[in-house]
Amino acid sequence: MTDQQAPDGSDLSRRRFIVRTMVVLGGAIAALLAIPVVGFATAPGWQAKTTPKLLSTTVAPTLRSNDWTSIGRVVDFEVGVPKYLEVERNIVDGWVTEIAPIGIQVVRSTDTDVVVFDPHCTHLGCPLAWSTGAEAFVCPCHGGSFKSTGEVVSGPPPRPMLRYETRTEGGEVLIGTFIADAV
Amino acid sequence: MGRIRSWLDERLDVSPLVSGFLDRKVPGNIGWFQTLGSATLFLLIVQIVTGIALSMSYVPSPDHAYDSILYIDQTPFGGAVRGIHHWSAGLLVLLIGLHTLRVFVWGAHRYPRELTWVVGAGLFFVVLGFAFTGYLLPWDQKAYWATVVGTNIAGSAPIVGGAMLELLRGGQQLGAVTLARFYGIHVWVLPAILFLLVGIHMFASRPRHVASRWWTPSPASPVARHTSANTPPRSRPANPSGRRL
Repeated sequence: MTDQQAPDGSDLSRRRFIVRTMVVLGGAIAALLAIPVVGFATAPGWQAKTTPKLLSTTVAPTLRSNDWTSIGRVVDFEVGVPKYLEVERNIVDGWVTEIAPIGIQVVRSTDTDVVVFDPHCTHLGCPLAWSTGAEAFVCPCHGGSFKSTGEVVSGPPPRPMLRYETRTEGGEVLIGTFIADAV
Repeated sequence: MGRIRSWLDERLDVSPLVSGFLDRKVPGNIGWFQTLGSATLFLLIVQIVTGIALSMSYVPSPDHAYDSILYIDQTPFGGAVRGIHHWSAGLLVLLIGLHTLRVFVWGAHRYPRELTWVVGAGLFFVVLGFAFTGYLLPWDQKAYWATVVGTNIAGSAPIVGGAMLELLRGGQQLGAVTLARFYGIHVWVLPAILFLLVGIHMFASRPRHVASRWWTPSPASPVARHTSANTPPRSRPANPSGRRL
């Protein structure tokens, strides 16, 4: 079948007009649907707060809390000996708000100072455990290890262990959010 | 059988469709290596069937995922269905890899099958996407930490890393949102892409679109001659005189 000329002599036949209208309308409807659907599904990506530099804190899968949480008294900890604790924190996980146990490593560095680490490797986020033999925090995944001060000893980790901001009130230690100053 | 078939044909005319695919002409010198694609398709169907069954007792939430897996394993045939889904998944990744390798070694990715190859490459990544998202769903130790590491690898990419990490996790941390996203991608997004690509991939393997052995190019088959890996492309014979022939 060949396209017939329109009565007014132009090239736009009835058939081509209908095809073009369908393409344009169909495309417009598809785009109108795609904007909210794709936008909704990819929102975490384009709303992302994680820049490559900040990956230092998001590398840890630990669920965050905005509260100050007591982890015990300074005198409860031995100087220089890391201690693993799970503290009940008020966390927000998507639509879930609950009290959940959060693992931390506490190191009393001096008589008065306590440093609190997140026990996850800064390489790819595997769980760290203190090895008394190696005197280091050791990662089971790719062999990264850290001193009790959080500095990297060996392996692939690009930066020191993540630390919580701490506050001491009358001998009691409280932790807040992560200190995001890791280089 | 014949009566049912003619009854159906009068109404739906299905015989040409079936025979067009099953009775199509293929080169005479093909063998077991050409069955890898069908084997991959078979495992995809196994995964779809067992996956649909599993979805009826699985809950993608950190509170319930692991317990619903334990529940499935106690249900009659539940352990078997989950076991088939688990082991077939590993075998599927292996088979699609072998299928891809076979096509590449045969040189069958070249003219006139480039689009079959491109679509097949897309299917390869879809299957890897299934494997990555499905791995998290049991929400056990291995699943959780593998996804921590996997999403952090995506996050370590230059420039787009942060966006990739949060797109996968549905936020900065790994939790309820991540599990729901992975489940949605695993059972809705990837299957939709899979059906589309498998349809194109199989449509493209109609008559004369199966490559014969690369080590014995058959003179009877022009397609085989074009695509044999042992006949590099040639231009016309050397013409030192420079005269137009």
